[in-house]
Amino acid sequence: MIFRTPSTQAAPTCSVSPATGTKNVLGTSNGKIRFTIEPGTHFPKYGGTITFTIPTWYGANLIYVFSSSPATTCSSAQLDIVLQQLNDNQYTIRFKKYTPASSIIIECSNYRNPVYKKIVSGFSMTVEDNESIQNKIMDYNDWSLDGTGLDQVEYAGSITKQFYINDVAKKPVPVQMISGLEFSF
Amino acid sequence: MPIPVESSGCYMKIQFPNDIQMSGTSIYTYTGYEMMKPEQGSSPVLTEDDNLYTRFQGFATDNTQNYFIIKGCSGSGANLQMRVRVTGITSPSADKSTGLFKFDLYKDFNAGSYQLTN
Repeated sequence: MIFRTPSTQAAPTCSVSPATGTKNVLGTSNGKIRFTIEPGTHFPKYGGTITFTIPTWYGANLIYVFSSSPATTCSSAQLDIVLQQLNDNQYTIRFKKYTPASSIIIECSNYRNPVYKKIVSGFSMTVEDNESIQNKIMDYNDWSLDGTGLDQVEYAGSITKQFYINDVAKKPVPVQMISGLEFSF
Repeated sequence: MPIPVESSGCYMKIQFPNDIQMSGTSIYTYTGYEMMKPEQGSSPVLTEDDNLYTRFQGFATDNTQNYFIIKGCSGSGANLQMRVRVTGITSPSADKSTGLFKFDLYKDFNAGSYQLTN
């Protein structure tokens, strides 16, 4: 019996696009992410399981870039997907058939864009075959999403302003008077 | 805020309208609350305090610029407000609506060049 280590291909590329009718901006949670994968020659033609490991959205909170509500769903013209589910930082896609192509494109909805312009690292992916005891076929180790080109968000009129004089809220204040001004949003 | 903001530091630029002119001779202070409270030290933060200036805020006294840059996003917890109280502001010279205020939020700030990025 010959044991083989999992095949490692070039890291997938990924890009985000906006939901229909919206701009591709920082902080949105309804974006679409597209993974483009070079399948190589070992990609399981008769079905298997893809497991994405995904990074957190922002800060130290355990909120991930994929969403359970509304649910992230993925689709691909090259894969006949039969089951998909999110479990913390892992998104699993089971497919029963792969139509060979030079690249596999998987698009997933309800993607959460970064909250400021940055490279989002921490994506990885494994591919297993469809045997009763699954064999790992491929590892796609750490890769990143370049979020530095996303547009900033603009809001109008959503800030409360209040003048203060001697720590007492005052509106309006006399003209040409030294006062305080409070902003909150 | 309509989008989430990280609690790992940010810089808020408060641009005043031209009819609320800031002066290089005024003493301005700010007090930050919730997401805009200083990371450490006292509040309010006085602009003439060099130590606090370098740690907590950049500050522009250039009349042509007319803005503050304040360090914030150090608070933790859900649904915190961004609230800032600035003193030393001279109200407009007439009873009227002022020009527009503009607030920009950035991740990074270079206090030497006053460049705000990300």
